[in-house]
Amino acid sequence: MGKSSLLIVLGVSAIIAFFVLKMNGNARENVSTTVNMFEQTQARLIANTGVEIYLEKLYADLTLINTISSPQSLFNGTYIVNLSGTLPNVRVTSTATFQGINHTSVADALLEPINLPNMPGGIYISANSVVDAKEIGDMEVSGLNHDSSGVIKGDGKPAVWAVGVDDETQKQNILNNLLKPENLEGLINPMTGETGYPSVGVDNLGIEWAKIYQYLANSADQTFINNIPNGTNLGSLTSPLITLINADANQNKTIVVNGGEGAGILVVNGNVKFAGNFNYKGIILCYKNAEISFESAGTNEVLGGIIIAGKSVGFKLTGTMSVKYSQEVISALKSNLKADGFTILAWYE
Amino acid sequence: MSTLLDIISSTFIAGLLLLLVIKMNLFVSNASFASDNELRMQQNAKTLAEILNYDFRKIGYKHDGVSILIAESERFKFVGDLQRPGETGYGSIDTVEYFIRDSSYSLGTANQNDIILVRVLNSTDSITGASLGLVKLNFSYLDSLSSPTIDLSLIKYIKTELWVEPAEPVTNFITGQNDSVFTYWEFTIYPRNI
Repeated sequence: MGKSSLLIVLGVSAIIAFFVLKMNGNARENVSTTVNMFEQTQARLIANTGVEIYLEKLYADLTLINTISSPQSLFNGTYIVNLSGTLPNVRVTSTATFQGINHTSVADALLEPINLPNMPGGIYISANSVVDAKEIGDMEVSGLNHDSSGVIKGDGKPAVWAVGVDDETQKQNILNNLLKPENLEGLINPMTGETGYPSVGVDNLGIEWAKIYQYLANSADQTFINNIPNGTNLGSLTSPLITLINADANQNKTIVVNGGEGAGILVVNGNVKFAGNFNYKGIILCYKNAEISFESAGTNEVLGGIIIAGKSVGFKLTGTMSVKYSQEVISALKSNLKADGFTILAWYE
Repeated sequence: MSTLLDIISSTFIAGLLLLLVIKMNLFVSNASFASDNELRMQQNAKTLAEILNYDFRKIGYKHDGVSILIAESERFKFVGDLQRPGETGYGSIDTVEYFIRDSSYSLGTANQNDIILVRVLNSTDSITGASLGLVKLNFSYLDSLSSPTIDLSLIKYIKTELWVEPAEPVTNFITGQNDSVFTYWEFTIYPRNI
């Protein structure tokens, strides 16, 4: 009887043990199925992240082209990136490993240049109204084409308007208030290319300046929210900088640029005052989604062009403000400004 | 007399224990079968998801213009290079089409509801395979704002829903009825090249 009981108990135990092991094995396999999907996804995400990281690294240091990274750790996995190609084109191959699962992502990218806004005039004003338009006449604005030294190239053609505006009303407003028409020299007949003065023309670009402002602001090399002292590096023509002056973030809502020189794109959000002897080669974009004040004191010169966009634009001038249009300067900016960043052309994952 | 009583009693107890063992064995077999079936169902669902996930991420790769050719709830056709640089076939644009066939094409399974997912590569290479327990498939298409769209040029996301049942019905040991076990798998893919 005792032996029989023992045999039965052992038999039942064996069946139960087999059952438990079987259930356990299936449960483990079930979890493994789900986990494997996670591992594949994780490997793919690590590889994709490797592509993104090394595109940023390449953007910061273009000498990394045609190099292979060492294994990098990320999210408990590793990845290796190969940057190959000839700039501005690059192929980024990222191979990731996570828990024994491999994934390779390949991205083709193009290094895009900064898109400069068109300059239809030495000064281009995009606003619903222009306050103190007569002050413009106190500036010396030339739409004639100058070289990078500020000397008129040949006959100054092709020229642009000395002052370009959005519509006829603004144009008449400026012309009616001009005290020194001879100060605005440039294109006077767009059909023939004839130059003379006063050069004020309508050329509505239909551009959303808020977007252009944001685009350039995002690409800025440096940002100022306080007055800029003389001697601050604002770039040179061989190494131009995108400088954001965020006057709206300043408690006085106005920033003073105290003399000095620079080159590149000066992006101004809000009211700005150029004081002292300020020489700038490039494009100054003043934008504010409200009234904007452009103030100049002392002897200032801009070689390139100025764009002023706002709901209304007010000018206040003391001293001399000279603005000279220059294709040569704008071309140099296009060549020498840093790239905008990489644009993905194709992505394999 | 007492010996006879002992034998009868022990035989009765032994019989009870034997019945218990047999019943337990049946239960174990049934539960094991159900467990295996559920595991296979889960694996089948994952296999289907992997296939679709692999292909959908190549939509539009190395192709300019609209890459989605057909976008219906049970039929989807697109173009894109399925091979990466360095692989054989890289550089030629592939056309991939997915559609379903009803259960009459799904022979060899006891499930009356299963359907076949067909993948046609470049209009010639048609992979039909087994049903893998798929009983329902639904593609839906979303634009960049995640709103449903049928405009092929606006599609940015492809949402796939799969309903998978066991290929063989699993009879419940207690009720004697077939269990209505199924797996629902949903995933939304954003192909980077569209």
